[in-house]
Amino acid sequence: MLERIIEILQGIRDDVDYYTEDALIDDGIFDSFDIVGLVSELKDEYDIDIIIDDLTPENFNSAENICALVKKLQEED
Amino acid sequence: MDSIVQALSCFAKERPDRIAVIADNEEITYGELWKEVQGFAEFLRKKNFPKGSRITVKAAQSIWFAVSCFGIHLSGNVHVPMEKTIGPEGVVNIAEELGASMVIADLDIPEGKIDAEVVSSKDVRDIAKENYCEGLEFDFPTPDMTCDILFTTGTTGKSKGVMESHRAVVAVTENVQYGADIPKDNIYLVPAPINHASAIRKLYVSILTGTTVVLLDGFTDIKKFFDYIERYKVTSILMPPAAVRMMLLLAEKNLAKYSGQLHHIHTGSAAFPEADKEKLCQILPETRLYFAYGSSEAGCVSMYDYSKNRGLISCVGKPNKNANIFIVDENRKPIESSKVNQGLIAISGPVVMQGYYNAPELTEGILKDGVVYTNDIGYIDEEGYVYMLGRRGDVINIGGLKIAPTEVENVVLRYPDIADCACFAVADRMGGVVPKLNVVLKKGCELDTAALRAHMAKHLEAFKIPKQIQVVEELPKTSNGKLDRKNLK
Repeated sequence: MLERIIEILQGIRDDVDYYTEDALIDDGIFDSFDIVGLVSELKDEYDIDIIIDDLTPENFNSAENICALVKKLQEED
Repeated sequence: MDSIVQALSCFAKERPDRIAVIADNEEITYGELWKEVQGFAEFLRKKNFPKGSRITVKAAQSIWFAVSCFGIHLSGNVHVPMEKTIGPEGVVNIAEELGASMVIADLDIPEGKIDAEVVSSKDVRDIAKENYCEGLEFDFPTPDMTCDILFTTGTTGKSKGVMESHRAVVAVTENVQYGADIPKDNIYLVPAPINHASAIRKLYVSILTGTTVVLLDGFTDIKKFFDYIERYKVTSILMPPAAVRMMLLLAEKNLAKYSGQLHHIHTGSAAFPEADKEKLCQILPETRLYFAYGSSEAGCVSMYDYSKNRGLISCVGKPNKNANIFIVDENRKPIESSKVNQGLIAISGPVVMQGYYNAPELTEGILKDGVVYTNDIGYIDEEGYVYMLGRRGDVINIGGLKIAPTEVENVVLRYPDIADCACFAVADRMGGVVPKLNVVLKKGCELDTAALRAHMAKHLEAFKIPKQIQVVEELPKTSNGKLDRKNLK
């Protein structure tokens, strides 16, 4: 899943090393609209419902954290 | 009231226990804030800087920022907020350009790199407390003194420092106050960068009205945004158009829950699609929805409650208390304008800036005899409503017939399959220009060009309907999320 999420992230910005980057939100690499696009892609790709409580910087700061969020939401479903 | 800091001193006596500022899970009352402001002003006074010295501050959504801002004002110096993301080199450059006496920042700037004294923002509140004692006396700044220098990136791309007197700051702040009829118990959520003109004015309006401001670091933490609305019982929010769009896309239902709690939402500073206005009206039927027109050079000159007055496309309301708005021709001569006789918007009154710092030629290009001549195309209707149709450089001129791209875009955005769009001029084979439309489709939609043309024909004159329509993946945006019209193709 991590590989696929990194592909999606590369579609948003392809100049970031998503294997090491852990402050996508905190360092302003992704802006509000990148998050809107990413959330929409994740919803479509994994058929999950991402609610406001999930929209925190921690959940989106790294590919690994995004992957963990998707897995958590899939398990809850 | 001659200055915002004077209002702070009044409310410190009148309602000392009222919370003035909330940020980073901390809060400070009017009484405490006034003490710290005096302490910081005393610290600055002891430095013996010449009156009117520039003090640059790397901004942050924090209480210390409010302490330093009003402390600088009270000491008779000029407050210069800088972007929160600025690095050491940028700090040094701006400090040198301004001949700053002091820099307040959370950065390590090597000694000798800069002439100005450097104070860590972490130390501001401790310094303020150490320097405070009972019985401090200050002369409040007078209306003509420079209050702030706000940096703005103009269409030329070069950063300009807008100098605002205390008179202008109070006048603009009153416009925000009266334009939105700020309630006495207001709690204002400000998630936009506090060094931006629209955001710092919400800090000022809260102090001018003795109410509370909640500072939040941006819109990316959407959970926190809603937590704050709930926890602090927020009654008004500053939301730039890009943030409105994001909330409508990600959190429409959550925002809708607060229709009864929210007195108003203040939007401004960029083109605001009519479709987003309509959507906000639907989900927040009990909330006043203001669009404010203005700039750093002449702030909040008009406000328009689009929740009450539906259907006036491109309307920016009537002039606010401290601004005169009139329409001029290319030679800056006032004209009687109308929908069919448009001109350029000009502004006079106490809201007008003093000029750009150290840039007399740039200043002359926009400010003359107390009038700011904008590049905004508009007109005033018979009832006194002002309409802003777009920027002069963006207007498409087809053999004398003029098309404001925003007018076309507002119509196209109402078409159900369209997520975003931009209208612009492209060269035609005859050596002239024609309007072209780039559209971003909503997920899963396909473009029915004939149907879209029919939709446009219902709302636009024939010459305004784009000759070429192209589907694109995305539109170019500037770093602050606005449409980058220069890079459309």
